[in-house]
Amino acid sequence: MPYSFVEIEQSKSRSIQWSLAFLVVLYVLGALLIVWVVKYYLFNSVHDRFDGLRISPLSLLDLPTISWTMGGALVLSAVHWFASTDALIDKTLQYMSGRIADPQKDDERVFRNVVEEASVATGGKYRIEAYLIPTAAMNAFALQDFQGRSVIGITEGLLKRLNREQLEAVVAHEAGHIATGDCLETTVTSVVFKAFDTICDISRRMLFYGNISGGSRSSSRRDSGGSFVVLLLIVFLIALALKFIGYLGSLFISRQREYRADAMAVQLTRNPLALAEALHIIDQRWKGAGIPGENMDAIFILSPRQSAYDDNEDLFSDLFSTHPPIKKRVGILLDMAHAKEADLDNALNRAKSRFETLHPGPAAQTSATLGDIPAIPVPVPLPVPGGLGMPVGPGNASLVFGKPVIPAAKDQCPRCQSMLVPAVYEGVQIKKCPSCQGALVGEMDVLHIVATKEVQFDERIRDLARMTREQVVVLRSNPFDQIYDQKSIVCPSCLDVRQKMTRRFINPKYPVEVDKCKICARVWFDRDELEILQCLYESDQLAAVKN
Amino acid sequence: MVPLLIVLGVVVVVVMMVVGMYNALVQMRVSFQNAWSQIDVQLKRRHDLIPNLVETAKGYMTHERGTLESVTKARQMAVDASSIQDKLAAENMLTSTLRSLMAVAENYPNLKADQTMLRLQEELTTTENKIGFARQYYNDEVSRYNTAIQTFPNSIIAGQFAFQPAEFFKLDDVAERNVPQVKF
Repeated sequence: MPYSFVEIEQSKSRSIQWSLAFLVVLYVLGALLIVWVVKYYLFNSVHDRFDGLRISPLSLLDLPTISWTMGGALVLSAVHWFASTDALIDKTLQYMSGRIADPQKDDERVFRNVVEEASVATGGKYRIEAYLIPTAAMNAFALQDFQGRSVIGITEGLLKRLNREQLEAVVAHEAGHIATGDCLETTVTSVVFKAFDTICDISRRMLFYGNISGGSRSSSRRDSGGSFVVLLLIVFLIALALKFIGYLGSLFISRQREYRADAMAVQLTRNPLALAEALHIIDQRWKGAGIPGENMDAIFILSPRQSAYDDNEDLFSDLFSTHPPIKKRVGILLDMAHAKEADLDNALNRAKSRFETLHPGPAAQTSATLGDIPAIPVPVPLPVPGGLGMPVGPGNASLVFGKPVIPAAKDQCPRCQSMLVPAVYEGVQIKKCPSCQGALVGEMDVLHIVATKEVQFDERIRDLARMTREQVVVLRSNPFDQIYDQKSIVCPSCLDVRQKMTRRFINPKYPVEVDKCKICARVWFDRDELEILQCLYESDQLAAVKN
Repeated sequence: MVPLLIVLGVVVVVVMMVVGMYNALVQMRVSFQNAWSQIDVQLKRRHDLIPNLVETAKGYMTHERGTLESVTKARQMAVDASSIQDKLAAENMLTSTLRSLMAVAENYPNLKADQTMLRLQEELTTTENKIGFARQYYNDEVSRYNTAIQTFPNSIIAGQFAFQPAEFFKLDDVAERNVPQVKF
């Protein structure tokens, strides 16, 4: 199907006109309201003092007042529009501290290549640039401005965890947004309405922390008089209203465009499974809540902030959510692949082996990593009751994708249903999943593993650890989103469906994502997580020795 | 007088329509020719990569002289091909010899771990993908153009001004890109 660019151009300009109109109306109404309230208040306070004259409130809005106010509002909204859309890509990337992918590094060169491929796939009509966001979070996004400059960005955390085909699928999804033109509208809408959100954010930090950059609460500021607090409270309330208005911006962004971009990605790569895998991988991890740019959630492949709306399909959710339910997206993709559960297992195994081509390990010279430890027998996976062999429709697909697996038997991997096998890692008995490389570790054993220094880490783990470290600073300035105790998977050891494990950062100093069981206190580490934790701790020890 | 004006008006309208349709066809022709040049760029890039690849592989694959030579030969044929027909045949040939080279390379662990080889392999992968995408785009454009010149009333114009149907860039190997499998 050749992209009909004429239709695309028409629809995108229309949608942008809508948000411009909305902005203008917003400013005019807001200004009228403020002027009216102020005038009414002034009138009353003056006349209270002298003659007690009363006046009908409406008559205060005479023609000159209205025209002046509207003129002012128009100018203000024009300033807002041009200030936020001017050089919007550069500003946004700077805000997220993005940098262009470095062709000297192997994985970043692959990313550049994949983006170039996507650019060829659109007939070379768009020159797409490849950007990286230095964070351990996992997400990807696309940006476009009025001049037609396009950018596909990916977080380093995601780049380091995908194989080439998954990366192709993610980039093709973003290229789909660019080619269908809805990238421009989400970028512009997000940028224009983000201003409100940013004001809200800054005032919130000033209110709670006394400084913009966050940091610790200063007690001197709290003593500096009640009037300051009242002022801040008013600012905060106004900002809250503004935040709601900024939220309305998402009204202009349809959830449907995500389905369209998914379809486009499949059309380009002919590989629906890879996209399903990638979405699944992103969905299970920290998607970037708390990092700069999280409030522009419409531009991302999955919304960085967890929202209750995201999983529903009623009218209200359709209006206010920018992304459709992940389960449904993955279900559609699996249907496209006509995948059966067995195929899916094979696909995941293939994906694992291909992972090595994008991230070639340091060959044989270093000692074993978690992935290499020899497993103690039990090679035959036990049959899953009612599972294998059944066709995977959207319903059954969620057994593996979209939502956590409910282990049917003790020691079954909560992610992929393979049987966990006992293994010895750093002198400690752990249980490890042979297919997804996750590991179940006792709480005390984690301390032991972290303190042992037998294993060497390759560059990929060290990069991830470095990014996780840098994350600490960002997260501290964003106290509301720092830790999230989210119900996640069923503990493979306790098998208690009501007391699920909670997904959280293992501790504030080492923001590594894990799942922790409240009953047996065992910790589930997904691939790489345990190694990142070890690597972080070791580098801390090293630094301590040096000082 | 009035009938004359009407006839004149009709003639003007018809001429304008013809001009419009003609221009649209020309635009489509330019667009698919442009798409072809995109493929050409990528094919050329693949030709440039192959000597390096063969040179690197030679160091490790001492017993596979035949495979290496067939790749070199296929490349030379592809470079020399001039007509689109020849080009298609030669490129398909080159693709299949390259694939057998890669299959053989699997048996040489040292070659697979070689840094230069890894980079070349990545370059080759991305180039193959780009060829695939460019081909997809070219075929889309060709089908748009072909449909246009064969449907009425464009077909009259196309016949008058000798717009020939364009050829698709076909692949021998249907399983080339893993097409989603349909199972019932």
